[in-house]
Amino acid sequence: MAGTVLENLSSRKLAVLISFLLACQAICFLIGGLVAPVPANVQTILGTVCKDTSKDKNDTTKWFYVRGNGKCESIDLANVQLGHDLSEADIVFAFQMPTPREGEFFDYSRWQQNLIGVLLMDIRYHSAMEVKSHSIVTIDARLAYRNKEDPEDAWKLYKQSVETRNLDCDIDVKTEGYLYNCTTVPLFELGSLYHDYYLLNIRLPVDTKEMNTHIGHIQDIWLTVINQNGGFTQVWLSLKTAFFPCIVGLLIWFWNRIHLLQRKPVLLEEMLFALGIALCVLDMPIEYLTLHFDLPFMLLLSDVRQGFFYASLFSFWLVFSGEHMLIQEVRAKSTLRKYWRHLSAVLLGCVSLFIFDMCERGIQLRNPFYSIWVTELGTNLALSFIILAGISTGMYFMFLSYMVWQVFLNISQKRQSMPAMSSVRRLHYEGIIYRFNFLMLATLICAAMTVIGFILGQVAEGQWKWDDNIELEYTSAFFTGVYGMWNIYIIALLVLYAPSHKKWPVNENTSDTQNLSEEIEFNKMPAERSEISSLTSFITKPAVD
Amino acid sequence: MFTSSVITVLVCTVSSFALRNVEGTKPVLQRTVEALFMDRSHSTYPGTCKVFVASNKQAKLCRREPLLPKIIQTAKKQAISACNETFQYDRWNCSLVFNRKPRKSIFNKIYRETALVHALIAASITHAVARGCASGELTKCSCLGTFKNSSWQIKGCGDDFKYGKRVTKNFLDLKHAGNDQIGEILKQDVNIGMDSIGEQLKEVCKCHGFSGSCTTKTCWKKLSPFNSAMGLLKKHYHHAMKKKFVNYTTKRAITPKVKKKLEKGRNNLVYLQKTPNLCVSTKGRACKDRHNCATLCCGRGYVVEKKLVSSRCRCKMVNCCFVKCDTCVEEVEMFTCK
Repeated sequence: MAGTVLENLSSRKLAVLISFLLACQAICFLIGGLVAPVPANVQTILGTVCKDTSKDKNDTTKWFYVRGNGKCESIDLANVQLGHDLSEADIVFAFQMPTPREGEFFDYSRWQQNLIGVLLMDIRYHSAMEVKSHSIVTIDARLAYRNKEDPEDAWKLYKQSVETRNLDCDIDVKTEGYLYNCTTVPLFELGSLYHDYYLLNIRLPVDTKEMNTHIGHIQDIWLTVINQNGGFTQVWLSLKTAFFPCIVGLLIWFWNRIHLLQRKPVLLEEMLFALGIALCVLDMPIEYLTLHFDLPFMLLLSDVRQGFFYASLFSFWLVFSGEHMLIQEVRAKSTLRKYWRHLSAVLLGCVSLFIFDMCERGIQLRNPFYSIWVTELGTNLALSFIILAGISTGMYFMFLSYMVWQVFLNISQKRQSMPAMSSVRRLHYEGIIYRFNFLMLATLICAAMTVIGFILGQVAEGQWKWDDNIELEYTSAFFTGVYGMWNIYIIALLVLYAPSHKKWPVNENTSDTQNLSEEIEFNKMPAERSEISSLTSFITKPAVD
Repeated sequence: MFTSSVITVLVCTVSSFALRNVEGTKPVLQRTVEALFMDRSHSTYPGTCKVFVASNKQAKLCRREPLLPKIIQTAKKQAISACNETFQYDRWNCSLVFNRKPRKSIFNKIYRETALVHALIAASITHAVARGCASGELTKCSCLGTFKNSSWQIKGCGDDFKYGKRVTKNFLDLKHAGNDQIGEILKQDVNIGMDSIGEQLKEVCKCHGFSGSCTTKTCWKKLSPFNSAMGLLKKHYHHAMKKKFVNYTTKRAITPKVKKKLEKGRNNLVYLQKTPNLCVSTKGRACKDRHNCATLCCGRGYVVEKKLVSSRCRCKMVNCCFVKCDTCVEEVEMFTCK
């Protein structure tokens, strides 16, 4: 028994399998494009200016909202003058989410998963008072929530924080009354959208002399909230629900198959199994839990899951090309330790990204208004982690391409000496080369598709129209397509690179094996030692020869 | 003084209404734009729309969305003040009549100014509606721009500008603007007005993918303040194209040459009649600087006076939203046309 399923599969069966997988791929793409809406929904809310007449400004039970019983007294900033009836600290910008549409007062659904808030400030140009291009704004932000069954004035504090943000503004045409072009101010990220209604109250405090005095004349504040679309979550989760049992079943089958053999699993099989587990973790539809529980760590967790998956995929590629070196020095079973130099690049990249993520999204678990990019130290720290991750990615790809290049060099060397070899050994080599080329091709195609898809998404419009009835939502199609593709890629690897049951070389499908009667006796000897596509034992033989 | 001017304006409007009743055939589009632009008072009218005497269809729209009259009121004020401010130093200073002659209303024929006012009112309504949707005042804003009929939680919501445009089209009853040349021309002007708001939308993006990277990027369009759209409309006003009056009954076959001409004017304001010479009325008008005076005073020259003017200076922000200034007295040159 030798080789993997891939080599022993007849070309007809292989074609059937590949076309089946391609069909699955097309279905994934089309489900995203035709069934799912855009991944994210945007709502832009214009802040209502409310008058806070209470004495105690730090009272977090007093809320200012725009609709419903006990709504705030709104004022028009353009018409009021600062005077005896209105002091500076009396102004509150209120944002009530979601805004009503189509005559209904909507509420958030838990299918919408997360909520990201971005502020945009309309700063008016005054010739008598020009604003510096870079300033710092201090925001006292309070977020409250309410549920459907609560009375309309029963807002409860969710999180409160006083935050500073950088504000960069410039202006092209200096005309009185025109606006500065200001950068957006990321305000908060909620990892779970558990409640029905949210309310944001913003004040711009002037506690110290310098605070908020140089930001210019704020005319309006706009809040843009971004949440995942419920329909997209449903499609995404159904994909996960469909893939998850397939992967689990396949992993069990793969493991059983390896344990049926009389030898211990080799490194490559272990790596493939680990990759399968990483995919399992990624596919696990734990988002269903958010429909019942408040799980703010979901954003972080999905980052970690993705990171884990990428790390194992990258490590797998390294080990795969390493194990396909046709000339190997050591006879013993290779271990991960052999690749420590290469794998440390992957590890370094992942760890630095993880630390960065923990610093940003980890702290956001406690304070959703937190941002690492605000302080100089934080920015430098975040940048250094990202750069570190970038460098290690670069290093990784250098290692990988070097190894792939070496394998190709190796292959071409072996090809030259192949005619002189006995058919059995030649067949083995050909098997290895075939296996390697197949994976290289598949990987390259998948990677290229991902990159092309991403670039297309950046360049093209969101919706593609064929006729009046068929519209394709490209962004969603890209996401489900890519997600499906890597799932299918790994499913294909697990199926095709599992050890084969068929006896080698009694394989009628390969044309070369037909006139090899005298080599069969010769073949028995190595067959005892290596039961798989074992490269180690079999390939090192030529060195003895 | 003020009350008398209000009365004269009122009399004017009333008389023009009377005149129109005699004519009787002006489409809703023209009637609405004129009513909104001419009435500078804050009087309320009977009926659901309050701001002006509405048609049946408009009254229905106002009944369906109770806050629409307020939005129309805002739109009207915004349009008039933006117009006055922008055309302060132009020969036509956004007045209702030419050369101060009460009979020469800008709505008598389709002048360059008439075209601008139609675009302006349309732009202003579009802007006010989109803003009303964003602030949550208007509750009936639709989720245009998304396909498939399912709830908001599932498919999301489109932007407010599209809805503002639809409301404006409905409110001004563009469908029944008339099939004659005047109707076509005004429709084009209204479209240019609405699009000037669209052109001033600013695209803003936010990345929120894996670890906050741009693997997922969401972009949206933010409404700009009305005065930037007004700036654009003024440019349109200066580049407006005059069309030849075509009697539609004797319409000749459209040759490729004519067609090309028609295509060319698609992105411009269009009008039919030449504006009368406004030089007569610029006597005594204030102008901005020497360059501006040269055109505004029509070559008659201008008087320069030096005056002490107190103005705001050394301004500071007190809190976010209040500008506190000192008062400075400066010597300023004042220009007045001879």
